[in-house]
Amino acid sequence: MQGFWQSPEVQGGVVPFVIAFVLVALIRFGGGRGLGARLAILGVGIGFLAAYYLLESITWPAVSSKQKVFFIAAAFLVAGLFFDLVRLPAKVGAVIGLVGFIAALYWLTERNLARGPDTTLILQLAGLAIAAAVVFFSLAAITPSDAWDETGNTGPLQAGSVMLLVAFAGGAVSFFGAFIGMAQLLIALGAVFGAWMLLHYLGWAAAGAPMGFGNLGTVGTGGVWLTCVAVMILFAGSVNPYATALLLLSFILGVLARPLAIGGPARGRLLSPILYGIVVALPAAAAVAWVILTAEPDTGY
Amino acid sequence: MLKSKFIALAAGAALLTGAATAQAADTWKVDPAHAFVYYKVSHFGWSNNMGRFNKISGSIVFDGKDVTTSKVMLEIEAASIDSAHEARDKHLKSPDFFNVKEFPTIKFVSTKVEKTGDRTGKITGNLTMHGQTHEVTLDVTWNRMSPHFRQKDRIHTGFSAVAKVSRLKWGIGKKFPPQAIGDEITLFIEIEAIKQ
Repeated sequence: MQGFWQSPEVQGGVVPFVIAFVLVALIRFGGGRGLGARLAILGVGIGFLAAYYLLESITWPAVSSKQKVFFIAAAFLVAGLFFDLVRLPAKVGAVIGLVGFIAALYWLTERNLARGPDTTLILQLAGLAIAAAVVFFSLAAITPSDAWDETGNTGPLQAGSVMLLVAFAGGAVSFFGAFIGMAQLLIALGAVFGAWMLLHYLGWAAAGAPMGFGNLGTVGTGGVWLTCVAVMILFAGSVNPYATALLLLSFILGVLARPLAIGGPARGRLLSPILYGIVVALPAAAAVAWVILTAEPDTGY
Repeated sequence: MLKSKFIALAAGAALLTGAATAQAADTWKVDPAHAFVYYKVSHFGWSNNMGRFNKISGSIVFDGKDVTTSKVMLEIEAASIDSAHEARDKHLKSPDFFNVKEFPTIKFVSTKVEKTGDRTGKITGNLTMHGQTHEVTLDVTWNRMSPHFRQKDRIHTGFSAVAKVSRLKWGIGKKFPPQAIGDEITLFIEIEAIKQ
């Protein structure tokens, strides 16, 4: 029985899913249509942090970059929550999130930067900063509404679709890049988004009443994903950086495919998120296929 | 006869003095071509997984008159780990194990040397690996010191050492339970050094 609770599948999948499901439901229904709907995604963040604690435990002072992920993720989530509570527009939150991510990159790589000039590292950092701009501004564009009541707005459901797909796909890329620890964390992020999406889709299908995404989603969960990917790219030499870059296309497609969400008659309301999900899944699926097809044969070492 | 005996004694004393002088607090540079660090770790209890680090450097300050004042500093390039399996090597270099991009160097600096026999001793020092520093004790044997067989002005010496470390203490491979990959790692070190 003890072995069951200690298995990575339970710690990185089942437990965070359940925590996120319960918290999202509690916040949504406890907080009501306005505040509750807006902040329900906090359950996703707390679910991820719980998964991190179970999989990695928390170390302070943080020495390695993976140990720093917890604190950076928590900082993004707190920032996102604060921005939502003060009703900061999503686009402004995205700008601040980008600045915060650049600061996080410095903290992650300060030991490497102290060793002296490294062209590869500088190029990687520049690439990650560009990726962060794509992620934050795409999510802000997918969910342009800053209203607390987002009835009829498909944006949050769409943004959640993108995050769920890139989290799982990122986990697969990390797994085939011989970085199992980050694969577990990204899959946990996918699991908690799965819980949010399940509740969100049910509410959307039943009454067209979604939950918000806001700064908690854009800066908070977007920042969490970016931090995990940054550690993957910077420190796991075997991770495929080009497959990882493909995931950014899911964010971009997430913006371009918005017209697919037609919301309206009941059948459209049920089907349009699925159709949208299929479209944004294409780059993520391509990234996963790439790493699987180019993986070395498993010799079971 | 007395004179020849005296000369022989004086020559012998000079040789001994010369040898002692050569040993007194000299600095020796580790010869990378003759430095080997191998490791052994249990794999599911089925067998011992073995590998090595290919890039080693360092210095030794060796005082033959009082070996307890000697100092050892060794540096190992973590990315030079070689387990004779490319996929495993990639994984060992990743953040799941040695995280070589973040912690490229494994370093040992001695803090204490104890003599346990004529040519044996224990060297205790700080081993910094994977961003953490903990104390380790090596069981050392001083093998030999002599001039190079061709270049007589080059003095070589060599040591063999064994140590046991806990990989989990240094946070290496925390995802993998000791039942799968043993926690105890045995290190086998063979070092030659050249007097500077």
